[in-house]
Amino acid sequence: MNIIETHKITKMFGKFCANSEIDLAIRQGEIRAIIGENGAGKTTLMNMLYGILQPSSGEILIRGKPVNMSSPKDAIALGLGMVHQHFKLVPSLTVFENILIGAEKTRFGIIDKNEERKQVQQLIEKYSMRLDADDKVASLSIGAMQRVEILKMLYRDVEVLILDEPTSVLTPQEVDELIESLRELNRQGKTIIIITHKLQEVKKLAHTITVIRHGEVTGTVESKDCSMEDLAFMMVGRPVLMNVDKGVSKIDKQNIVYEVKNLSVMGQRGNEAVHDLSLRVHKGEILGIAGVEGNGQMELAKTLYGMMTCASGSVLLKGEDVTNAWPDQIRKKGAGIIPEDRYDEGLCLDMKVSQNLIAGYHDRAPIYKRPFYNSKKIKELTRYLVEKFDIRLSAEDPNVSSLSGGNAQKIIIAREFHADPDFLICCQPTRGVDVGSIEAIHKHIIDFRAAGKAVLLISSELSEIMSLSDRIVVMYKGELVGEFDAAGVTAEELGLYMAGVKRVPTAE
Amino acid sequence: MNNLISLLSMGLAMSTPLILGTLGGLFTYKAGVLNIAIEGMMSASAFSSILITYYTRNVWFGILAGILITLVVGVVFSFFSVTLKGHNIITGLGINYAVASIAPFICLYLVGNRTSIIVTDLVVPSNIVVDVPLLRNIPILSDFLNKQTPLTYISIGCILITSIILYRTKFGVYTQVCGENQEAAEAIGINVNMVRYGAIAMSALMSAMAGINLSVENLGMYTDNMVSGRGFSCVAAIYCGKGRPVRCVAYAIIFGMTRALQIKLTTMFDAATASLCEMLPYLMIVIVMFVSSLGDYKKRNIRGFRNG
Repeated sequence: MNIIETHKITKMFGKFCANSEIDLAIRQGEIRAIIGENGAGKTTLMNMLYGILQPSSGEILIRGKPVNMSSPKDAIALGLGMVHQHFKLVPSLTVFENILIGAEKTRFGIIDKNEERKQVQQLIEKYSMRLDADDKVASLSIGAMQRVEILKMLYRDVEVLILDEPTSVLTPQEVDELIESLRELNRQGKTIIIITHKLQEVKKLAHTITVIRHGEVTGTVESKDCSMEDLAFMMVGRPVLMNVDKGVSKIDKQNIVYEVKNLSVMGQRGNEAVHDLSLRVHKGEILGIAGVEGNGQMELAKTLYGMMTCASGSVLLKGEDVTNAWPDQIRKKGAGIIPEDRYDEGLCLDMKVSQNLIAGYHDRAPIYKRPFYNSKKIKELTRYLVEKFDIRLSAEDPNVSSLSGGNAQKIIIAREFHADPDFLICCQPTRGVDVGSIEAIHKHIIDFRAAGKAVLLISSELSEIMSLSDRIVVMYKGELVGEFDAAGVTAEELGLYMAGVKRVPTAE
Repeated sequence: MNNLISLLSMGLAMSTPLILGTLGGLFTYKAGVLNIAIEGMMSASAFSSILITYYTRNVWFGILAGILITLVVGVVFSFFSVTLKGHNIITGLGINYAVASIAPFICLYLVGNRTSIIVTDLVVPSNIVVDVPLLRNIPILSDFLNKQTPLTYISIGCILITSIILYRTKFGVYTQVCGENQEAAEAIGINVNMVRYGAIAMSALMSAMAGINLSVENLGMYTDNMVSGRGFSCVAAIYCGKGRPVRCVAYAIIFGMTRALQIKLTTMFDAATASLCEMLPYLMIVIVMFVSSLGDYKKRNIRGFRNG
């Protein structure tokens, strides 16, 4: 039996058609993946199923009956629950309070916390989730917050669970745990719809996969009948290289481009987030830092690109001291910066693409000649970079806020590579970026290395670290615990070091 | 010793309006509304309660009117800052200035005196104090804790009541939800605007009590600008205490004690030095805010903007 069916639903935003005559049939008890690139219309479709948006035409049937949902409340009443990409939680409240928001148990007007705690504890046990009902949400990891969101829906007795990009913010371990949880829910009879663009997880989890491109369904396939390459082809509309061709390495061991010596950084909780860390990056080399998120990579990265200060240690770029230098000083000395959070540190959302393309390099000729900017040169540069780096714009020179994650990231890539640095600090370069753009970004990094430059790559995507790096170091609790030649190490081996099970006393 | 006890006694009395205003302001703080209109709400209540007492010759009518009129001021503030989504500082300033200018106008127009209304023939402040049997016999403690005005004791009780409402009722929890993550509230169908109206009404109610304490209870008269920045002290106490009821009240008491100290000091010095002392309560706010944020500042190693 089909629990959800749509007949030719279409959603127009003005003249723009986000979803065009989509037919969907989701069977009771299956795990369905809806995949597509960023901007393909997946989220629009789900928002219609969840009552956030109303279709322009077509109809939605739940358990065979046509329905009209005007708000998420209606959807929940019909047994549909959604876990959003951005969590809707209250940090200062506890887990059980968050789960019961809007459904509080009261006695004489006073909330009965004991009863609430008991009910949530039962729920946690029923679905065997790893959570403590009494923890404050503010202190939870991202993965745990997501479990709270899932329980919030399960408490409301939903039969269908819709998850919007659930894995984009998770560490590999958390992804595995989520997949396990979802399988368990499925065994207990829940229907699960997962929206994503990550093919590996889709292959692991889903029974059936629906691919959407440009607002239309390009196909629905059984997961076991197709390969990742097939799916990528259906998503992007052209063959996609899933593995990066690194070419030959030309590492010059004698030439140290970047050196970090005994660096220590204090974290936000007063702990030592980075402890006595040393590393070297040679000419022509990509050094990857692997690790489970939250082991000091963020603090290390922020310190290296000048957004945090270190407690002790030193950093040398081409032999020059750049310890605690500001980002503009680092750039002037010949390093490019791809920051961890592109919207927080890399781009200014409410400014134009052209302005973002010169940001950080805005005080240099030929675009700037004291005291004026040369708008003609800026325009030329923008046109050149937009074309060269294949940045897809909706208008001549729109604000960055109108761009998808992949295109926004390409602006940073274009800007930093255009300055022709000798060294690149590259953090989470493809987080939340679609398959097509990942391929392009990886190619730029490889080309950069082929030109004899050096790269420090920090990423929580182990597959990315493994496919790009020449050498890999593993970070655990603020220290480097292992060093490997990328060619001779497996993901399983790295995983043991990332989890802290194994360590080499002094790497480097 | 006697000086110290009389300072503590006076300090407690001077803390009362600050405690009430602070506790009320906690609701708006938690609801995500920056409420600087506490100042105006206190003024509105201090003024209208005395005015109505003056006309009806009945203190209870005056008190009731003070509360109702302040609630109306609260609704006006809500309408502009919640319904119309005006900037909180600007709408708050608007309320403060409106009250500050309407009061002397009505005063002059109806009473014929621009700056004060006196009803000491109806209210005798020294007769209002409560002699608490339990406290009466405790040495030293009774000297400053006993024989305070009713609202002083009520304000202490309000600490518990506020905590219960904020943390143990649906309204309180929803208030926190609206302040911290509006989307979370909307996703499960909480009417965010209604909750904020409620929070502002709570703030107005408690600010009204603070105003009544200032004019009716303590003096039996209204004088122009008698609130003199107490509402802002409340805002400072809330932010220093980071929204935790007991901590915020502790800061409110620090500010109240400083006011008492200032009054004590002004009687000891010549006029010029005395007027310098008047800045003490405000200076205290700056010092306390500086000290309370110093700890956070020292720990920071994340960079913001760079100059030059």
